[in-house]
Amino acid sequence: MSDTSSKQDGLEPEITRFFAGLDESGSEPDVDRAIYALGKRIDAKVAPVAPRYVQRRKWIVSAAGAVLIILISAGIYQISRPTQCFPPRPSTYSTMIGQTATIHLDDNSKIILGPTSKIQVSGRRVELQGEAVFTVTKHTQDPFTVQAGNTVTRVLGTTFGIRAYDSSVRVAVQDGKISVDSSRVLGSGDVATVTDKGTSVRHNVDVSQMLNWTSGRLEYRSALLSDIIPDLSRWYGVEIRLADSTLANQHFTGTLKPGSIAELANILELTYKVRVVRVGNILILETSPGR
Amino acid sequence: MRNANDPDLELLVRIRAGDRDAFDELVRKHYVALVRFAGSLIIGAGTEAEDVVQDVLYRTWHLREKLNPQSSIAAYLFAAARNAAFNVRKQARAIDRFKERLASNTLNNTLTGGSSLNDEISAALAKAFVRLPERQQTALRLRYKYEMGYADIASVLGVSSKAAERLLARGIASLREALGKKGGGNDSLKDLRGFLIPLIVIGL
Repeated sequence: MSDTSSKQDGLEPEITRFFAGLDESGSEPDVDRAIYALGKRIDAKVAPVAPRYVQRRKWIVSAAGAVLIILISAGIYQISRPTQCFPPRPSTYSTMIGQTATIHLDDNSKIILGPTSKIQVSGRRVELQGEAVFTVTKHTQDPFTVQAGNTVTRVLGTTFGIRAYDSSVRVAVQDGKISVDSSRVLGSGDVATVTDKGTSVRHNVDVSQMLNWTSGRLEYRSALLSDIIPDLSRWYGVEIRLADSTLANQHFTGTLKPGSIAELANILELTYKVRVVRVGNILILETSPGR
Repeated sequence: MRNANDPDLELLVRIRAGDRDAFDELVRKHYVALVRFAGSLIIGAGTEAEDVVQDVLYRTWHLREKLNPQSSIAAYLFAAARNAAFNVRKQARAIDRFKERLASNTLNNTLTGGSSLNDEISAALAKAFVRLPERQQTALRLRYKYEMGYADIASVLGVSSKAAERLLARGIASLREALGKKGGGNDSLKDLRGFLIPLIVIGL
């Protein structure tokens, strides 16, 4: 070690104090919160690295499969948010958080797949996990069927949405007629909710609002915040935690255009008069002091 | 090197083996310093510094098997935080305006930092400090604020130990000069040095 450096480490007290005070302003970073958020991120199921289609390319692909894939990539441009679709097999499509995908079938039917959803297509028979809106071409001889959870929906030609993220399945019909589990026939404006306990049907519902996500808008009319939170995690990739549990019963009316988490935080702050603390992909809603 | 005595070494070994508790312990140990350090390199750093540091830590966990037990994990974390902060900075539109804001940021932070310093001396030192090149500032920060050894400072900055020493020497010389001017000339500077107490004991 050189002479100069050893001398220089004996610092004047003023300089020592200067360094002690350096960078100390602002609030103390909350290490517990950070460890919690990091743990969440680490534990979050790492989205399976989608196999790149090129790597999995098989040279013998059925003509139908090839057409499908081309149409899918064309469909992506019609959606406001960038989307990706990585078919692990020619007939299975899945989306990640915040993504949608448009699938054109060879019978001219169209499927718009919601975020964190998966669909398996074989001809006019599809199996859905998550949410999708179907516009089905009429074909009297060959009904279009959707299996979602334990519910099978049969349809001749119509536009309808199915939401099956958990054990309950919601089928909303915009126009046409469909049958759910071969028993109930639903018409335009009908919404069926199928749970373990049975099926309930509401009539004259504004279905277009439920299916509006296909045009990149999430519309809510006096929806409970607790009901919206799962949507937000699927569209924004955020986890929302309520510091004050009474916030869950607040209503929300409005339209969200999924975008950045920062935007969402702003909207929530303005709507609910809360303080939103962001830690990575977690938003913590706290009741603002003084209100 | 000093590696056998590096208190993080045992943690590192456990982290490489996939021990999450050890990782939490590492985070607990360095998080606040990393956020403050990253914040010093990002303007208007609020939660942004925390985001940067969390991303660094998250990546560190994923790369844990590639962490080199021969080198200091603290140096690795600070280097990664510095790079990540620079990436955020790259997005700043006008670099010159950015530098001005960085300077006033540091000034404000220092002056409002709640230290018991005489305002005049503090202001003079802060002014001199923010005028230093970034690498000198960072070297000084790491040495005197975060108490890092020369070898680690060198590895954070990606320079040789000698070069790190030179950066420190030049930085300190500038601060001393500012302190001397503030003290009213060479005489009082000598007085100060007469009362100099080596507060920081180094192990090098």
